[in-house]
Amino acid sequence: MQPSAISSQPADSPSQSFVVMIEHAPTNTELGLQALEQVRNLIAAQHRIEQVFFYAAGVLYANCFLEFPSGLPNLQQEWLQLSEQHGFPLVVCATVGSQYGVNALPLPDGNLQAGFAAGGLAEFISTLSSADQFVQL
Amino acid sequence: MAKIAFVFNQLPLHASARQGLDMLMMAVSLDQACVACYEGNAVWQLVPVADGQPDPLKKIQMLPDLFDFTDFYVCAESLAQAELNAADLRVPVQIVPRSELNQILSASQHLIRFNQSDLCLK
Repeated sequence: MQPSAISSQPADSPSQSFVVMIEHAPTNTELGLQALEQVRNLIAAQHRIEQVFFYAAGVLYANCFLEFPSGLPNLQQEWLQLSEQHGFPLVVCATVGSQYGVNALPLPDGNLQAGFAAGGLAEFISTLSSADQFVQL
Repeated sequence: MAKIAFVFNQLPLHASARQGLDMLMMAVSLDQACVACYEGNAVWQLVPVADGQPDPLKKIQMLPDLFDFTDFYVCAESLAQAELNAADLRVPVQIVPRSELNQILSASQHLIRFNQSDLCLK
């Protein structure tokens, strides 16, 4: 995890492009809220989010059957709203998704949540290679 | 300077080992300048697995053999602690003290850590 990559950015630094990788499971509310807050802060500081990539247990965010217990925020919905408001893609790794039971097709053939795009590592690596900064949560 | 540094520190059967290897191999195949760093228990990811035992990292061999990738760095202290040496490993590596490993990491543009301690709880 590299939260320091963000906090070390001076407030008046020029706009930079960021790739964010989410690897925690959606049941980890604390990290989930931290990740959303960091992305909101980056956007508020005029940085560009090129892609939020869901890998490892983070792929579970892309399951359309995901539910959150009462009293907790719906983190999936928050990512969808943020993505729509600010025009960055939510990309889930299709291969790793299948290892966690996320079939990267929309209903009825799979269980991919609308608003998430199934992608591959090639797309992620090429986006990362042209980005200024990388954040992992 | 490496564009992307991949850091591993979990045992071979930990999900992060395979997930990180997949990503490393994609980056190398896309001609990104990468380094792969192994510390702690991850030194065991580089040890050949006996026939019949699960080996999710078998294709690591393709990195030197097919892609001429040689930028494997292993933490010397971790290797010593595991009582292993270079001859025990399945790919050619550079063994460096932890301090040098940290320098390599801080000189990389992007750092991706595959050290999820528990993917279910994380």
